[in-house]
Amino acid sequence: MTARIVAGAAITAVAFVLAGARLARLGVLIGAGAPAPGRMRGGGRRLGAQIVEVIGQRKILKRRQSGIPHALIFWGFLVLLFTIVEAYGDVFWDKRFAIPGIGTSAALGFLEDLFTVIVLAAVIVFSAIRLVDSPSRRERRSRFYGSHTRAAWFVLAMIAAVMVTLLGYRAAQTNTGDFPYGSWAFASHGIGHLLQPLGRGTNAALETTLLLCNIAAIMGFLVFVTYSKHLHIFLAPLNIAFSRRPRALGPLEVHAPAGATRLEHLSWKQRLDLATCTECGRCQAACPAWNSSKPLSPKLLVMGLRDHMFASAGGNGAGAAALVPDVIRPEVVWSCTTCGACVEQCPVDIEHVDTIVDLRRGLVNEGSMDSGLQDALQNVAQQGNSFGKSQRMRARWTRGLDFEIKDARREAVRYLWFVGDFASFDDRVAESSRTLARLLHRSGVDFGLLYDGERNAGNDVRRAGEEGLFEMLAEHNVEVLRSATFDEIFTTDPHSFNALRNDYPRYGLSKTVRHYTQLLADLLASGSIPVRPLGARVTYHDPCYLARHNRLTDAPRRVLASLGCDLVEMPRHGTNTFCCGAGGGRIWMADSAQGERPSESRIREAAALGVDLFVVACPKDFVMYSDAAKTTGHDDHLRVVDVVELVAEAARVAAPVAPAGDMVAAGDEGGRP
Amino acid sequence: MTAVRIVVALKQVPDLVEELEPSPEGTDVDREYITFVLNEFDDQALEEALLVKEATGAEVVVVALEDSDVDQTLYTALAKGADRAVKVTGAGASGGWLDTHSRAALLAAWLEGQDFDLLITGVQAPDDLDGQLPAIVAGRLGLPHASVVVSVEVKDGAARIRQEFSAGRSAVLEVPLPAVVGVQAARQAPRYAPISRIRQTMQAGGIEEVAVEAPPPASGFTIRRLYPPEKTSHAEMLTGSAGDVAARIVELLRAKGLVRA
Repeated sequence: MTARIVAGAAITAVAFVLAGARLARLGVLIGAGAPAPGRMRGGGRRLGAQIVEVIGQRKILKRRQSGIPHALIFWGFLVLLFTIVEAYGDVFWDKRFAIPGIGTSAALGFLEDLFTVIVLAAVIVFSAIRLVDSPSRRERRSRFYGSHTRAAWFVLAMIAAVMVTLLGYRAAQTNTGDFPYGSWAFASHGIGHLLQPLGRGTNAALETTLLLCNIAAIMGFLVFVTYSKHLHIFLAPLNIAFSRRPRALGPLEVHAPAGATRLEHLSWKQRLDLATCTECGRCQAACPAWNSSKPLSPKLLVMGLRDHMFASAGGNGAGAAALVPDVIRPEVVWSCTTCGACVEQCPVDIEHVDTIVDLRRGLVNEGSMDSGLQDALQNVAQQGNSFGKSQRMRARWTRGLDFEIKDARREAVRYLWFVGDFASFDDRVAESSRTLARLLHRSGVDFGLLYDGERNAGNDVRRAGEEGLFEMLAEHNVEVLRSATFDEIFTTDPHSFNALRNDYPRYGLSKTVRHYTQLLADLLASGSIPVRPLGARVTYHDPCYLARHNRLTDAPRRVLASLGCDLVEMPRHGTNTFCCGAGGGRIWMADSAQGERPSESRIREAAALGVDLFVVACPKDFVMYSDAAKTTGHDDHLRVVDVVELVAEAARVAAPVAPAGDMVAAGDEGGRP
Repeated sequence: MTAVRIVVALKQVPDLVEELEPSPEGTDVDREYITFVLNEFDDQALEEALLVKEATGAEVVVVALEDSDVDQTLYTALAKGADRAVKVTGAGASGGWLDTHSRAALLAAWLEGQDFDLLITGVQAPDDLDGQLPAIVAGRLGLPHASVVVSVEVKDGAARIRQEFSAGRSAVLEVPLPAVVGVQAARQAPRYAPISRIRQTMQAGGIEEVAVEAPPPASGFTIRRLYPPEKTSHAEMLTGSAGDVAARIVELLRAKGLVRA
């Protein structure tokens, strides 16, 4: 008995010293980060997140195949915490130790055994997943590419070792008479039967050995966890506790306007992000950059920064290195579309986009960027639009209309239409702007424009890292918006929508911001736009900044339903949409032609559905996908169309080619009173 | 050796995204409704000067006459790394359009009182397509001058410059300082000035205003009329069979007296 106590105490003491030292060092390292304002506020919400995300495993269960075994192991470990108490009781107290109150109940015995078996089964599933998606064979296509796979296998082996030793000593206990549970502990008794022939003495020795092995395995695991990517066991609940709420993906923050160029500029939350990453690669699998052969993997970016952070803690001066290009290559940072798929996927709420934008801010502040981006930023700074056209040309698209749109700066309107650069200056998209204007005008909607007062909203300018220019744009636009009289804003561009809705309140904008698809959905529902069913087979592409960043997925679908369209969803839709590749300023940067572009991958995804129309609700999407349909050769059977053009087709008010008389007739047929 | 001082002369020109129209007097563009930006060649000159600064620790002073929107340009130059910005004011330096001779005279008048080693400016401007400005300033100051320059390096009291000629030829020259250089293109694209830094320089102020007395008009010419290019002829498309077209061409050439028979 004394030997048991000495051995158990020694193992535990060593483990606690090793793990404690490591955790203390991590605490210092993370605590040394720059302030992260607001990350402590909203305790109730944060507690709720612990229940839903940690206990409930919500995000991890989004991927069923690995999510279910993970949740089972997690819940298994919660149940098996009881067995750790029992093991220590057995070592330090009494061989016949039972947890007071519940320690002999059939239910606990059953649950412990059940989860031991389940965890072992889950380990087998995990092993299978790792074998099938092996990075040594599948290379970049594996989500484990670049992850520490040997450490992952070691973790699986450790989990199995804890389970096997647990079952072993419990089985032996059934033969020594020290087991507190009856036959409901089915696995222990089952294996106990097999061990029975060995005799009581051997079983007693086996019990001591396996019990100590169990404690050693648990303690060994504890130490390994703190020194490996498996740290998420401890840090995930913390990272989730301090993540942005209601979602990790949300309005950008500015801790350092000049960006992050060295480790010291990363906030403690950003550092916690780095330490929490478990290298699962879900971000990488969802990333449009990685999937189009770009150098960016959100996972590898986080791992690179994390390794740098750990290296700098050695006091070897590594902290003085430039985050870009010494730690992360600039091409990696510039590949991001800020679509947010990584953050959406990350089960431990790492906020990759924030860190990437901080790195970009650092680069922009040094004037280091792609020449296309530099031209666009200079155009926006000089002319207020990325096209470099005269600001006075902004409302030129309205010339093709046979009515005048109100100037909201001069007369009051119900809706202020914030048109955006592409919908104003790009000839292809301007056509749809006119269509929307005609529809609204005909339905009696009271709306107006800012005309030459409107400037680029700055959403992509900001995400490209030009915070100063974004501020200038926001201040200007808010000032002009304040000089206008209106009730609500609607935008064409989901990017402008995001900026106005999430970024502008800080600059004093407090109006409701809507997207034109919401307006159309309401007008169709109320019968203000009479339509005839189109009966087309269509698919719909959710824009990242509508669906993922702002959870707006319903309105465009309501529009399509009102038009009698048969909507066939792509596998990646709604908040799991796949980026067209244009976001975050990417549309201004040179695109190396290697690999399939995200927009091309998307068109193939849609083409496989056998639909006729690829419906978009974003000007940049229209441009990107019209091109991709051509380059992939699908343009002969898949038409890329803005949702407003479909509404117009159904209402027959659209085409200037249609004679006016025809338009009236169509309206009548549509059931106009 | 003390640090080399480089003066970069900058000039505002109409932003060509706006449509230019002649003023009611018909002797200038209508300046009322257009914006002005830095002459692109001067932007190249500034970049080259900043590269020299980075390589040698030279001091860079930007100077501009008081043209429209010039403060923005001077602050941007400061944000990019210029050490000082000077705005030449005075009766002759502001207002309407200044011909190159008057501009050069004003610049030279200011430079005469200055201690500098190198004047770098754009090789040309939309209203100085033959690139007279650097040459005239150099002439007035009695300094050596080189234009169409694509690289400037300063070492031991001399500037090593590369001039670019046609047909892919170039020459490397060494000029004793002080000298005047007209830059065609910098060794790298002009850098980006982050807006936050431009705003910081604006808040800090720091543009030095210097009144310079206008020297007597130097060019001796006046503008009588400024107008958009007039259509002087139009093309006639010949259609029909090859024979018809050939016959018509012969007929036309005969009519113009270019062929006999």
